[in-house]
Amino acid sequence: MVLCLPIAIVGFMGLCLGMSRHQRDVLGRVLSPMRSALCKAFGWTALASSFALAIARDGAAMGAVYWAGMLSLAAVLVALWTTWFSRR
Amino acid sequence: MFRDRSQPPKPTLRSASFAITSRALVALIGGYLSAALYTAAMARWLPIARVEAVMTGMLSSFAIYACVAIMAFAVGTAKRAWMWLAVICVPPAIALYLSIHGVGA
Amino acid sequence: MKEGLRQSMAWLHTWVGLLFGWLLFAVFVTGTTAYFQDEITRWMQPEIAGERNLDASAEGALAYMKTHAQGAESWTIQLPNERSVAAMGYWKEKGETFRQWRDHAFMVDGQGRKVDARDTTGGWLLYRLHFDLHYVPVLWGRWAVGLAAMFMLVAIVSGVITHKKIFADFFTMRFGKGQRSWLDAHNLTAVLALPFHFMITYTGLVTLMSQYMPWGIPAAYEHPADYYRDHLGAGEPPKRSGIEAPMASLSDMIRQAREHWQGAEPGFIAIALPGDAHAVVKITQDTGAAMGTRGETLSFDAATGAMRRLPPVKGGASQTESVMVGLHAGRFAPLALRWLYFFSGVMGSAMVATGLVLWTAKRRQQLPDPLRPHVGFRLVEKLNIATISGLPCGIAVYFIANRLLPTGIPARVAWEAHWLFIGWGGVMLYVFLRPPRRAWVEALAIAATAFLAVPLVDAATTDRGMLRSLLAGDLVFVAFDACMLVTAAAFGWAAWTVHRRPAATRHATRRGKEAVA
Repeated sequence: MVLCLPIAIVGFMGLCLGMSRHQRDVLGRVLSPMRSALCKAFGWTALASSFALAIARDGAAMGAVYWAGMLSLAAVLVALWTTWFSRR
Repeated sequence: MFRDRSQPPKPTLRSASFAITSRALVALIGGYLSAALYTAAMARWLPIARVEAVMTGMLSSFAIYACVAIMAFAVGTAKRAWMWLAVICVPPAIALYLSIHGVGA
Repeated sequence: MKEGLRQSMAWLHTWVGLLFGWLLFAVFVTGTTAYFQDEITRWMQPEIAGERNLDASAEGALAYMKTHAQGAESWTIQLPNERSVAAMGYWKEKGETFRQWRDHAFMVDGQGRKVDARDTTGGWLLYRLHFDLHYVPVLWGRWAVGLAAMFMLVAIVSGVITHKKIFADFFTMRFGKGQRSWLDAHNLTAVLALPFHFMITYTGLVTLMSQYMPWGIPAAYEHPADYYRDHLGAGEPPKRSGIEAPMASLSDMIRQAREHWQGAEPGFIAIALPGDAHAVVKITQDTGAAMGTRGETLSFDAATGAMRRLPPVKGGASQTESVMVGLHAGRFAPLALRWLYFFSGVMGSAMVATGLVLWTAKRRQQLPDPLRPHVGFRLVEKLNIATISGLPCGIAVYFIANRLLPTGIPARVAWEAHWLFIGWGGVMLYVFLRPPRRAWVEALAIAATAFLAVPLVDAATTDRGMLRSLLAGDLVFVAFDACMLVTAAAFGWAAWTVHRRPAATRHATRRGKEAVA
């Protein structure tokens, strides 16, 4: 849990930065398709590793429940993070 | 399964509300009826312990209900919704009939 | 083809959502609080303190009933779980129904002593509201909630079909853009917690499925009782022998149960025909023990303390049902996961609330005269305000009533519940008397004030106020008060935001005119 949440947040940040709409808000410029793809790949890897971590710690059933709840929290935090940029 | 009514003739208010009521009936009553039929049919036909068969039927019933309710509003016309409802309900009804009056049970 | 389907699904989503929205909001809010049901109950009984001790409180409750309830039909002990302190005991006299259990209920603390706590239903009231409603027969309430849940499922499916750009909009939340913002907020709260919403709706239906969809039982069983015997392993109730027999050691039966469950704790003890030679002790596992725990019960001969036949082993479907019910109630969840459940519940409540507001936001522009909307629009708008700020306000009033109602007045428990609805009803009445925009601001402000008042009233009337609890390291009380303050702040912020908005609109109009000029 301690490590899982930050990893999921970083993962969603990666996915988010892979989308041109949010690149404009957060970075102020659009990344090349190559870099966007890299961001996305990084994001998915981080999400997958947070899942693996949760399962390794709490077992398949409990880990999956934890992970699902945490994923929602992480995604909301990242959504608010991008909003903060677009409001500035 | 879902066919589009491409630009239907402009419906009058009364015929529109009739169609909506008709679809709502399919969703609400038809959905429950089909879920109940499948649940009962599963309880009699599934080749597992009786209590497990009953339970399996109940557990899946809400998915059936939801699908029928969605179907009622997804198909092109209200009449088609009733036809689909009949198509969905006939198999479990036959299975139930056979199990009570004919083979099995 | 795709557009036609999407349109009809959007229509379905809109109207199903509106029709069941207010009820679903109440179900979501009370259900969310129910994840902290035990903590709320603890806060509502400040007289009870200390640590839990299962065995001591079980023995204490038993001793009390041995002296006060000889010859009763049954004795029941609800043991404290990991999150609570006191055990509750109650008995049933011959000829009484289980509804009357409150007449002979008492609390026992971790040292086995009976404690006189104020009479309250605590978090349990909110938990029961979640599926029984109130002031209506329980069965009707459950049918209403079940129907709402069924169409919540329909709304989820149709919503997913309607939402064109689930992945493109995944992180999008634009503030201050009117209808667009409400749509963003609705999408965000719905999509980001979609697994939870789907799980909670389906498993919620499963918790009451033998009421909602019982048709498999008469199809497969001649007598419904046989189904429940196969399902729960409940045997025949014992018959009175008329011969008195002392009871064997309860602690020893608890020990046997723990051993049989490999360390899992008991949560519930029911003794049928106490004192009789045919008495039976049933020990049920604490539902918090594991995700799939659901009424695992062991029976003992009270006179000898020997375990009777074992309950049936669960098959695949029964196991699935247990896990689904467990997932819904989250009783197994440790603290961190419990907060995630709570957070998801808040997301669900916000999803329903934003959906309801979206209905009006979308239609306001299309009104022929936005200053004079038609009756239906006005009704929806008022009901939205009255529900979204009124129900939470009622809950705050319920907590305040718990502190202010004198102990020992007749029907105190009922009056606590009445105050919840007086609070809610009061806000509703107020809202219907005020113009809509002012109603929003004022109702939200009233709710904020009510939540702010809860910790203040608590500090004024008990010795377990926030500061003292903080110093004593009593985290349950601190967390409860902190939640009240956070909720107050959220409502206050919402009121402030709505309050500022009309000015912004006027400003925009003026700017628009200038641009035209």
